[in-house]
Amino acid sequence: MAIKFVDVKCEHIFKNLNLEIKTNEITSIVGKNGSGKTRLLNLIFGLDLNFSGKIVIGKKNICDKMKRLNLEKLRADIFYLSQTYQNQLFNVNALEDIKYDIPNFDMIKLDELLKSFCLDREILKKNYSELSNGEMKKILLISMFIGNKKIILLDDPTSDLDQKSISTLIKLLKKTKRDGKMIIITSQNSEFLLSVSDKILILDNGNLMEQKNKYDFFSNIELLNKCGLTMPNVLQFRQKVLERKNIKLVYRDNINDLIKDIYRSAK
Amino acid sequence: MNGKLIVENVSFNDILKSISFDLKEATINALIGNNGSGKTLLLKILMGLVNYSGVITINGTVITKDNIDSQRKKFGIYLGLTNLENKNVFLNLIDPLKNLNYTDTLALKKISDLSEKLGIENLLYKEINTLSHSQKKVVSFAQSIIHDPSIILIDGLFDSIDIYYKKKIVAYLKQLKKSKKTIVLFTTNNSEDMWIADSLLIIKNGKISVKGNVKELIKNESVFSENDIKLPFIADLSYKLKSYDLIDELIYSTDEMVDKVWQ
Repeated sequence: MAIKFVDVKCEHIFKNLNLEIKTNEITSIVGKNGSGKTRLLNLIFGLDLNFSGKIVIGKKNICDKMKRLNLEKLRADIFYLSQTYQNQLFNVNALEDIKYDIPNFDMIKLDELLKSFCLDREILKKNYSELSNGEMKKILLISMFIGNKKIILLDDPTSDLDQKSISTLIKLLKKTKRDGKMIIITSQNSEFLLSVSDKILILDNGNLMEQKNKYDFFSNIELLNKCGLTMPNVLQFRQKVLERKNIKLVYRDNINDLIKDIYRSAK
Repeated sequence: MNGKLIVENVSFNDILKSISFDLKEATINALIGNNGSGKTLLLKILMGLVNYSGVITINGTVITKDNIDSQRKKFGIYLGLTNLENKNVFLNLIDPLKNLNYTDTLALKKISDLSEKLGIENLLYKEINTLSHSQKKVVSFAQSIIHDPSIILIDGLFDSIDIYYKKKIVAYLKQLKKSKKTIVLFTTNNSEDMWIADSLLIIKNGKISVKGNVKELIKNESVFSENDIKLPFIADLSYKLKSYDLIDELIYSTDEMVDKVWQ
């Protein structure tokens, strides 16, 4: 199962998009603000039918002639965490929403997820008005991990989350992709993107470029600037080592692996 | 207790539990807390949006229901881009000054000086929607402090901002500090913000669990692990390299660290 865009054009924003996104992978979409990241997710979710070209999800072709029922069937298999995620919480509290979306959810799995996000069962019954943004986001993420949708769209998932929750999210996303899901993320958090991405798609001036090697991308300061991103700390350090000592450390995406390499190299 | 901003036994809804701290004038403070720690609520309380129990004092004046409107002017608050309007930068910056009896000449001078310090003087007559995300952030920040507030609260300004503008803003904050202003940076997930501040406060479970000088606190790794707060990268790296016996002591500069490890 794959998502394919063929010559997709949207007035004033996309000149010519061609892409293929696969399952068992985390695909990240980067680009400056206004480059169309959210718009792209909206196209996949069938929220925006105003385009020319072909968008195919699995075997289904999205188009404006699509019947409402078919569009709903398509969306039933997609989880979309939007930037205005607070609006996605319908009922009064989390427990109601989870029961509604996933009638046969696994309570044990729910408890594990609550624990990994440093929450307890109490929060499920609290009125949403009493929760902070971060807590609401965590609840949505938990409902995503406990559900069964095959395609996952996350728009800026790390905003409002603390460091510990971001680490947890990274771990869970990597696990989830191995279960055959397709995960598509937009973000401006370089450290997060470096840890989590398998493939990077760059939106620039209405066009899309694929970056097969995430390390090359995150070490390229010109490209990063173009996308409004900063260089992740581990790669900044690696560059310093290269500049000052002419030593090429292996590319790593986290500090613990970096330390092991530093040790081997220094001894 | 002596200080510009004094918060005494402030509670709300069992989220903030009799929280107390004081911030001296001429300081830059980083307030770090995880999700659900009460950080956002504290910000809302300082903005006067929420009814709380306890006492808040600004520059010796206790805030009451009667004086809150006038006291609010002493605050400058950056929360994001929501205050920006669809017109040019200059018109956005003149808005906060309108209700404050500035003459046109004075207002013009203020806007000109501030925009030069923040590196946006070349953008004054550009429409807001033509600016980059970082530029919008700078304009919004300028808007929030152009009325010369004595206490400045900043939430989320430094997450993803161009280095050029970040440097300008940090330099300006240090200048404000010299003019006896009090600055508070609210942070959830960016430990690097700590370096900008003199003092660090960690909020946990509705209380201040740690308060002290940034450089001093960073020397004590357990403070951070106990409170589930990530250390800034270079400090984290220092501790880890130290445990492998690759360096003897905490190092704060990357250049120095590279030189020491590969002697």
